[in-house]
Amino acid sequence: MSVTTSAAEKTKRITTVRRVVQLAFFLLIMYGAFVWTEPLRNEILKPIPSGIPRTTLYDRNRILWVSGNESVVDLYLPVLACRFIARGGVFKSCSVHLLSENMTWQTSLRIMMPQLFFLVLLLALGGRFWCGWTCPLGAIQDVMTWVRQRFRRPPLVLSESVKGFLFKTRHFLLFATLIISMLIAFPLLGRTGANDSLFLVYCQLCPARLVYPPLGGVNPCWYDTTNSVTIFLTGLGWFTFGTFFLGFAVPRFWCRVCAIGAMSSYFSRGSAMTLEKETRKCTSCGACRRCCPVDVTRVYEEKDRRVVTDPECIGCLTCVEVCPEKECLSARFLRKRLVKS
Amino acid sequence: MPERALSPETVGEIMSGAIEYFREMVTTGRRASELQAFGGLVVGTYCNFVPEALVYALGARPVRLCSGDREAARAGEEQFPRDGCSLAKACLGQALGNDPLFARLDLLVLPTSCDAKTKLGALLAEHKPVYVMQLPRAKSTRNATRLWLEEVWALVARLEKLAGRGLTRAALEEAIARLNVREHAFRRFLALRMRVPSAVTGEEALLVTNASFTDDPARWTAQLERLCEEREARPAGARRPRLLLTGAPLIHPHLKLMRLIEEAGAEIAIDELCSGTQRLYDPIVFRDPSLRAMVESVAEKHLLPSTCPCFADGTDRLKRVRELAEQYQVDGVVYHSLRVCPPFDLEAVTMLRALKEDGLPCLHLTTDYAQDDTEQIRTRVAAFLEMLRSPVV
Repeated sequence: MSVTTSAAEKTKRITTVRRVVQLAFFLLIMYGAFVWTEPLRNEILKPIPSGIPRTTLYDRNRILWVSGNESVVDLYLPVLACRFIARGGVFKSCSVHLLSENMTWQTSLRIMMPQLFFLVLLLALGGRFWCGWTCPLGAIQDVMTWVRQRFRRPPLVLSESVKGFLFKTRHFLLFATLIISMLIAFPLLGRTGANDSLFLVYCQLCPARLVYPPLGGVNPCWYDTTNSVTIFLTGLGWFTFGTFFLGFAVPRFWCRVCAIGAMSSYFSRGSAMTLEKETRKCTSCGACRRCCPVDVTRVYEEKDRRVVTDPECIGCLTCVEVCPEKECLSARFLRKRLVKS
Repeated sequence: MPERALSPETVGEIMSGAIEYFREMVTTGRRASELQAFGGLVVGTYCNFVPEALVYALGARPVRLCSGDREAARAGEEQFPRDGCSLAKACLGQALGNDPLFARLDLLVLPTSCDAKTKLGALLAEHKPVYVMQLPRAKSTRNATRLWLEEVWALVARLEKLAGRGLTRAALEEAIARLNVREHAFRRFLALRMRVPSAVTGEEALLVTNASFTDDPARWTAQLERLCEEREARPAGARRPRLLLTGAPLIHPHLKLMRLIEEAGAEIAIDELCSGTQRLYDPIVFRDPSLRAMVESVAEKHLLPSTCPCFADGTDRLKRVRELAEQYQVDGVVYHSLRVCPPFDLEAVTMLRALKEDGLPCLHLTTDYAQDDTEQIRTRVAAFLEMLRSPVV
């Protein structure tokens, strides 16, 4: 029986490491600011000066009310580190937040350059592996899946059409956000009071805005009845907040909708972190496809090419873990093998 | 190292000791009488597609009935058309004769793999209740897996009804674990064959896998571990030409081909047969501990890694043969076609061409359960081995 225990150990190792990393990043991102109370600033990491809507929208009774604290470092991550974390959090916010607000503020590229460079660097290094290993919202969803599995409940299987719809929604949300952010700055459709209320439109419907503050003991702005736009966005926010809890039924449900993930996915294929497959060693047993939390089929289907990183893949490496063939699947950083099946 | 101190004769004795268990299981009626004494359901299955784990989880015992028995094939000819393959005839022959194991069965589960197996159901139904599972003809599409999963769930319903109990998550998890232990031990056994020269003969390997058709997995695994321990201590002999055997299944007592090749001085370092390595190679892998996910993993294990030529796409087998050829350092490939079995014959065309392009010498042998071509095959094998020994530039 010793042989089987060693096999079981092998299958648990990657997940154990990932859980530790996820917990560390969760604590750092969510509670780091409780420890490091003084913001760290220097010439490169100075905060981007904000434009007009900031002052009009960041009040206690507004949807975009933030904790009132600045983040410890002024960096944006390609995961859901969020402006709405209690005490401002360690990191400034997510990648979509960065683009969205600076498009509205018409921040010059020169000022944004260090931030953009850092973000692109992270994505070039890790692609969507950040999603699987560091995103706190992803970690919360993994806990949801764990709870479901404790109760031995089967996951809800999404149909192909639903998956296709979610895939489109993700990219639609990203581009709609960027276009709306631009339209506030360049009001081609006319300038109304509603424009300001559309500031950071993605944040207003992102579940993190409602999920994160309570985890830090802060009351988020649950509703904003200032005008019809804020009422509509409140409703939309509540709707996505509700769908976030589909994570109990579908593994990593929100990751299939997340616009930050959509943006990161454009870097998936070219990033230094890759998922590779020795196609000849594959017996097509389908374990990778069955165990994938985000229903990636490329790893299973690929018969020729080595690199099987998929835009949908969050880099959790469950497939590498479950693959019964030695050295068939591997995760590599700049072609150097980190882990293998 | 006391093992090294043993004389070759003593080593040989111990070796035969461990393999004898498997020989006994396939040659004698021991398992049949054990199953006769067994109180629960005994389910007869064909091919590698019927998920055994489900049968075990319901407290029943699966028995794979695919037969290599020439006498049974003769008996089957009574009803089966002349131009049917020996295997299908033998499967029918078991029913027509008074096979004690067949008599004990409560249900036959028959996948629609090839035409012969598909039509066998109607003939077998005259003797035992037959449950036919519709096997998709192209296995890797999403529709195929969906259809197969539904077929497996339908089988679950049928077995549940027959067993008078429901399939529970805990029982299935336990059955899967038990089978995975078996699969794990089998990989240890394969490591013996990976040695140059192999520590087991191809014929012995087939006895081992054939024994698992009917045997209790736990006991089989324990015996295999015993065999592994013995053979791991065996001193290496002389290197012989190493061959890979692929193609139609060889099932005891139809091990003629295996014996002829090994008598001619080569060793079958690895086989890729559904009655051999393919049967026990893939473990059942699941992540989600729900009943549904487990049934899915069990169903897919029996469908997706299969390299049966009844599926439209034969590239999986070619890929597998190439990989095994490299892993087991073989010098050539023997492709076995069963007479009047079109799927294997058809696939031979593309496969042998591709392997030859790889630079692997190939020998294509077509035979059946009859013995009349023994000398002919012996001559062809000898010529092939001669060619391997004297490489032409």
